[in-house]
Amino acid sequence: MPAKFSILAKFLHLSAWVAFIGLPGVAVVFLMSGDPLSFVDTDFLSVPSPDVLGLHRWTLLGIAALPGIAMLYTIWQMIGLFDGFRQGRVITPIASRQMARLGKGLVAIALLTILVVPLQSAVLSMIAKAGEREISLVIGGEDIWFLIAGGLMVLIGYALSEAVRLSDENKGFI
Amino acid sequence: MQIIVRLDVMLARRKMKSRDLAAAVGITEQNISLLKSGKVKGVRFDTLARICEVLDCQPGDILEAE
Repeated sequence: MPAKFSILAKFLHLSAWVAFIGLPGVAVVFLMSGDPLSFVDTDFLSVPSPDVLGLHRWTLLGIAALPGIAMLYTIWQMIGLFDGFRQGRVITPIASRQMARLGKGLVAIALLTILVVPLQSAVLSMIAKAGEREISLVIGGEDIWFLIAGGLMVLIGYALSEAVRLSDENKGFI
Repeated sequence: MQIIVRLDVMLARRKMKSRDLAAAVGITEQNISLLKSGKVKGVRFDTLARICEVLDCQPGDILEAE
């Protein structure tokens, strides 16, 4: 592998590890520093958000955490992929699987991010008074881009698995 | 029908070792060994041409259909 790509792979591998450790760390700091519900964005509600207590509070936080969990899974696949790349293991079955899983992770992040708002609004609506219940849906441009990028990575993973197959077949020729 | 590799016969006739053939052709001794045992999927034409040039023979002297 050319030196510049090896250096890039090492940098990305280190960055992915920093993100993998840093993201949960930041979340823990936020949860311990004050009202964890300040995490939950209720701007999408057109009526005042009701008082949220007990189980509903943790349900809202759990829903908010879903894209983060998908992100950790995606970053873990990146760590494995970049680790292989920095060691020169590029066209391998493991790399193709990690690439595909990375793509599926990006798609999951997009879908879960889209689902967070309706799920949270449903929970908030359940404890609201009659006439103040609603379900909201927000789809942003970045969600669409995540979906497209994730789908692209899945296809690249498939292409890489074909490259692995051809490489193995080529090795049988002298 | 199978393709039989008679490389060991040609090497014996030319009194050449596998190691020397590998060095002259530019492939590894392991690949020569795999070729002798017929455990390769195929041989590239340029590899076959170099083997024939080194052993001063025809492809038919090395490969046989059975």
